[in-house]
Amino acid sequence: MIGLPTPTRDAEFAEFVNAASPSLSWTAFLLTGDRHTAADLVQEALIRTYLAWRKVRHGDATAYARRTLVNLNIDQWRRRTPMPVEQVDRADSRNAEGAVDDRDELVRMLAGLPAQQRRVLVLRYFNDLPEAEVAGLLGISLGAVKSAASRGLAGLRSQYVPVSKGENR
Amino acid sequence: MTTDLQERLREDLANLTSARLDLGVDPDDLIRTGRRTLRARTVRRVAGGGSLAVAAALLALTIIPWPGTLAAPVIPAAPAVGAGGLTDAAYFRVDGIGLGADTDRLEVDVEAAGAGWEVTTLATRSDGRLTHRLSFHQDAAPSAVQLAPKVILELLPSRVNWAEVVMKDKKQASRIDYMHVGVLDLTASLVWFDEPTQVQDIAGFIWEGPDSVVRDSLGFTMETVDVALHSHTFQVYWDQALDFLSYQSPDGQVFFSGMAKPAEIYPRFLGELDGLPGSAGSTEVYGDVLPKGAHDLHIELASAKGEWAHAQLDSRTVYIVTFPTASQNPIRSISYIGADGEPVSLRMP
Repeated sequence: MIGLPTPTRDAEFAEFVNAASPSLSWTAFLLTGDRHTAADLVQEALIRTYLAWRKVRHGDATAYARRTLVNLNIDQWRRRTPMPVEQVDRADSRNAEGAVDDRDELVRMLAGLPAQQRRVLVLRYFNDLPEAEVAGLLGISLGAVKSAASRGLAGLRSQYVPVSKGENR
Repeated sequence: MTTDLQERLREDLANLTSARLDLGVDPDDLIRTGRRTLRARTVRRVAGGGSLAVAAALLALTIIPWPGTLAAPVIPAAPAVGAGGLTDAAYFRVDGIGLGADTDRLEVDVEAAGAGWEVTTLATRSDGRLTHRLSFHQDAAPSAVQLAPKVILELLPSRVNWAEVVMKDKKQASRIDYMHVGVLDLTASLVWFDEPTQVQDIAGFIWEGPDSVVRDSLGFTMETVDVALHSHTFQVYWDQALDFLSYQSPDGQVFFSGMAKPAEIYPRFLGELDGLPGSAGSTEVYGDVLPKGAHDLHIELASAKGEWAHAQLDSRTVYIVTFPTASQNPIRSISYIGADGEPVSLRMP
């Protein structure tokens, strides 16, 4: 942190947290399916980002925080126990189309996938990262990303209920 | 290439951001905690910096035998590999998954030893400290070694374009990675499972070599045949011994039969394709192989939007069904004449 006055550093970091925490929070929640675990993940990832702020402030701090969060999630995964998937607070919980239930269901469906598949799907389709970037982030080959995405989508596919038509699939 | 399912998932996930998710992130609290940690780090560096390097060097000499069990090769029959010298190791990022909390990286090194291989696996922490070491002799054959209850190491006697593990039951690997190992032209593949899995649960392996030939660990070359539909042709691979079906789509993608069927009598779901000639949206692909000697296949589809075709692969009929991705079962029934001359009709659920 040498060369950066503390008030400046802290102001920058606070601004970064306000901007990045919604996306990081959702990433953590989708990866874990559990609010408390997700909160711990985000907290730890952001503290580590603060500690590395001198390095990351001129680069993509969000990417750094996300990488840290994913690595922490992988680290936690080895000790995991089955965790309930919680209801999510929403600014507007009423939805005439029933989308709230659908979104709860989506979180549950993701939580039911093997961890690696869930990570790949979240990073690919929520964080919108290219396959190569997902591979780099998870430290696996591009082929492994494709394989996990394909398996994960197949797993979701069997659970996805058509919203509009209601056919029997 | 984007399928409807991918697009739907992307949209559904994007919709989540419209909801509030308050995890109690407080910038001021984070900054206070961060400052405390910085101060503590500074104190530790000042107090113990001189002795850290020595301690790390001593720890690096501590080699702990791997706690996992070593299993025999799954498949005895395999082409031998030529003798070679020392090999370059393959490195896998492990991130503590399955091989111990501290394990960050696994190194697999193989040397030629007579007609076999001398295999060494080294596991290290993120700081480079060695945590586990395992050495064993292995016949020069496709093999699987149990490293931990949920982690299996495969060794394949070839470079591969891709590799897949075939299970005896519906269990699936949750993560597969593979890497070339040095001058012996070997491939090491690390396979993770979400539940304890034995080497004996593996039926075998399938891989495509640099020569684009698909082989299995029983020593067979997978049979292949073109199945031509009206608008496109699929190259279908079939491994009878492993009951493994895969195909190469018109745009060159390879899909496997590892995905579960919707029902036992339903054909295998073989993936979802986008951009097929003559198709506006995405296309679901199903396929399977009829029992030996069965013939006169007829498939009734749910609508005229779908296509099906079959081809003869040795004494088996292999078929492919394509159907625009939709929210209905694409297949109504499948009927054929069995090898005993009796008609068989399967009504789809």
